[in-house]
Amino acid sequence: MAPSPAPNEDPDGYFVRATYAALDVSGVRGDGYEDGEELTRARLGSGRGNLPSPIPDTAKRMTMGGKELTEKEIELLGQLDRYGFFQPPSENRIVMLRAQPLRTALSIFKSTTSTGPENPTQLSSLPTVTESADDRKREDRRIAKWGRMLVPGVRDSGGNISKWKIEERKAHKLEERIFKGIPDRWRSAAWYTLLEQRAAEDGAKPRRDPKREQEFSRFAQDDIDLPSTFDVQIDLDVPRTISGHVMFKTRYGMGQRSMFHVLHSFSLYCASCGYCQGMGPLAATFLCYLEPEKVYSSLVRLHDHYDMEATFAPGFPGLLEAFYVQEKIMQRMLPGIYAVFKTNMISTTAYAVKWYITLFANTVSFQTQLRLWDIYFLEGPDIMVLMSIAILWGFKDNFLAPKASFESMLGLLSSFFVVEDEDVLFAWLRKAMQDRRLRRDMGMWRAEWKELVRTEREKNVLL
Amino acid sequence: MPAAPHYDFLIKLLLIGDSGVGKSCLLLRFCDDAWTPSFITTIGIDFKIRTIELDGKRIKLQIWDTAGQERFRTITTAYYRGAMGILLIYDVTDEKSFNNIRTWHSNIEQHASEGVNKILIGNKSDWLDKRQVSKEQGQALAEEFGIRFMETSAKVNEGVEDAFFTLARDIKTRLIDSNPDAGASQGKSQDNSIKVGAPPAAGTSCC
Repeated sequence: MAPSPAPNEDPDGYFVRATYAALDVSGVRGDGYEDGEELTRARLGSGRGNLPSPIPDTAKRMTMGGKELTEKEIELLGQLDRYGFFQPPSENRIVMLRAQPLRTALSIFKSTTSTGPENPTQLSSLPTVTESADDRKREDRRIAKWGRMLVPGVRDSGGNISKWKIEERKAHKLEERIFKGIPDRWRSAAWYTLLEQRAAEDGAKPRRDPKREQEFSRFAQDDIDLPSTFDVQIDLDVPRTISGHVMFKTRYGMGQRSMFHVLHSFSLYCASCGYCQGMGPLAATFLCYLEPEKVYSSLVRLHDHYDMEATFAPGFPGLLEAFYVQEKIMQRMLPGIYAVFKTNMISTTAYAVKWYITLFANTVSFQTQLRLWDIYFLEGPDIMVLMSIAILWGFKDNFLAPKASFESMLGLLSSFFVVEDEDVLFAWLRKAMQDRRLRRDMGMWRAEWKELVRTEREKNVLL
Repeated sequence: MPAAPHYDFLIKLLLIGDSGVGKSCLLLRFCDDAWTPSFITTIGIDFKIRTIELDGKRIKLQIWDTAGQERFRTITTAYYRGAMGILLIYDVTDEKSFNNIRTWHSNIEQHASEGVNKILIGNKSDWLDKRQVSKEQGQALAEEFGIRFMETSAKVNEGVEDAFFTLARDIKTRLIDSNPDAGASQGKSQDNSIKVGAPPAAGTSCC
């Protein structure tokens, strides 16, 4: 049934919400391989007073049912890579983050010049995800190990596992195994378990909106019946979020509808955050692994227990804090780069906003992003700062090159990064995370930034 | 010493306007002559470069693209002051984006450098059956602001070159042709481009 408009609801917002609700019932044609048809953009301005009921309008287009896939459809679906992409998100400029510099651990790097070229080699396209027979064997071994480490925790009334838990005797292996990459088959269970674990350790946080005391189950039932002032903006962003993926390809297909629903509900969760552009790639990535209810609660976990509330909130206080910590590390470990950024007036806002808000979605390949998230869910926000440092570390010779310029540096920083050897990158990150002095200082810098803000002395502190 | 750049002047431009009006698509069309229906949402700030030739001078355009969602204005307004020209963009199929141009315009007044060149752009002009804002309305608003107006379609590549070139020419006239030093030292482009292209104000504005 179509939801009814709320008092004072923006008619465009209502139209969006009602359209998604209607299509949730009827589905769309060719979901997963056709592009689908736009219904909610470019509305008929002045004629909007009489909203056409979306159901009869769209019902004509539905041909759901027991139809077999055609050969063309099978062929199309056969082109997907292992993560479900028809084509990976295409970026204009792709550069390789080389393994070689990352073989040296993060330490104080005093050089102020290099002999390197100012531009690293550019790749013409993203390399396809490939798996050798050895990779597959290795993955099989890891799958078996994870099977012994993650065991059923809670079963639902039908006997299905609804929660996993970490086998106590194997818990000491967890961190190392996560840094090696969670086997994709275990990612869904492992991510959710890690998020729950952190939430449990962190303690319950009061719900932001006292009117919404209800548990997460509320999500599926009636959130869609409530208006969100962000519905139009969310609808605008949904089709421009990893649309090269089979789940999100078709306009108003199941994936896009789930994404809308999750973001709609999440925009109601916290009155101060609402919806912030950049939440889309987070929801979409989660949707590749978890059902919508769990995606919603995962976003809530990030919000409550991974400092994402401060990252999304107006003024982006958490983002600026992360910039401060990043710049402090640069000052200590990469003073030459800090100096050259300062001279060239390269502000961290010019390149790192999307890094921290989307947690590196669309900045590194999907597989690298997944592995980064694996460790982020275990370790928390420091990982994202150190990933930024890893990129600066990996390209330090380019930034310090004699011909390096504002443009070469910012162009490089705005690139899409293909990681030459993920194992080397994640070993580098693990080592940096284990640097106790650095971690302690990161905590101190976070507090320092908050104090600067509190006493209104934060102006002109950041690059 | 850094090597001499391959251009005579550097001009910094900024694209602003509501989310979804096609800012990134216009930029992609202008800089890479490409169009994609599946563009990704711009988060924060992005930038691209294109060098053009104007009246025998090589002019490097450094163009900043911005996220349209209001929340990002705390970040993007810092980039207004360094801009020498600003493209105010709306979507001709979306009346709200046109109505919001007034807000964007007052943001410019508030944050940009005085005398910054502006142009009003109505994008998606190819989408005839969905049009909500007439060319006359666009023209009238531009006249009210005392700025130029053009309609463009990044999709079918209509008016895009024209829009950027027109703005660049206006800037060149204002900053370069009227500046005797700039005109006289065209051979020594290094000093010149720094002087004209990267005033100190542009830098501090990025913080």
